Amino acid sequence: MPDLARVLAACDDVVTAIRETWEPSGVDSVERAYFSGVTEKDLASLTGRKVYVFPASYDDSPIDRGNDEWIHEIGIVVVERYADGGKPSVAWMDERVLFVEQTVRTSIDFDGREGSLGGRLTTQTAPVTDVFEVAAFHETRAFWSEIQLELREIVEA
Amino acid sequence: MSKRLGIKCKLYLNVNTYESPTWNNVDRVSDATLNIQWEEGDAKSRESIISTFEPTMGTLDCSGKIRVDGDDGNYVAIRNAFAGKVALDLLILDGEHDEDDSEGVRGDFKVFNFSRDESMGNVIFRDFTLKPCIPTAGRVAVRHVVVAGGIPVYSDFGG
Repeated sequence: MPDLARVLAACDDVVTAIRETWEPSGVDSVERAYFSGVTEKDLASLTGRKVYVFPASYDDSPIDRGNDEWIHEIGIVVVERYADGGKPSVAWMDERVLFVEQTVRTSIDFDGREGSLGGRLTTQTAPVTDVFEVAAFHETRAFWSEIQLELREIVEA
Repeated sequence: MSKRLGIKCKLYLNVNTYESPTWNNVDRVSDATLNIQWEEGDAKSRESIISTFEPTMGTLDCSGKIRVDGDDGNYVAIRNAFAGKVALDLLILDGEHDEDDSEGVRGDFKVFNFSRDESMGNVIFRDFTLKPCIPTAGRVAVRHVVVAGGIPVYSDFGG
């Protein structure tokens, strides 16, 4: 029996995949988290670019007589506070929106990638449900973007 | 065992000789159906006011889905048998081949359908249909099987 729940291992695989494309430096980070929302107070003191990967739900069912298909729903939040004071510029926001699309979202486009528990991970959907979160932008001058990732994993039964 | 489950049903492929089979479990199969029935011969006569029938010729096929997996030798064997119109020695049971009371059929089959649905978002399966074919020399036609004493016991249909 593995030491880690499958959905958590899948989250770790997502973290690894993002790190393969983007190596955080300084106060930037990408990590698996039990994420219930960064508070306004948290945002006010946030430094660097943070990528949080957290489990949302999972299910499994037989896909054939010898294998199970797991479905992992994983949330990804990219958050960064505009630290220079004042209103974030369009160029600053554009760069973060591009980071989500070109770096985070591209790195999690799995096509049968071998997972850390031996299954095969394939990305089913990865909608960006919030390109930027309006309240975070207006109230805390922060960039906040969310991806709802659905991974399918085929595992020998 | 009295209860039988679809997920426990087996499609076995013989990878050894006909007389000393080695049964490979084709476990990439998903839903499958074994269709088997007698055709009806009209046997009406003055003996009865109710129409009577007798079973005459039988028809049998097995249809289902198999998940495409080029790393799986059993899948590759079935794919190649379809492409090459080659017969496969198959054992189709509702349980393990050494589990008493598993029942089904054994014989030479050819693959007559190997279609696939390429809809976006699908895990790709092949829809297959297996039908009995002319037996390879030295073999007999499709036979009925019931496992007893841990061994498949064969009998002829209609015999």
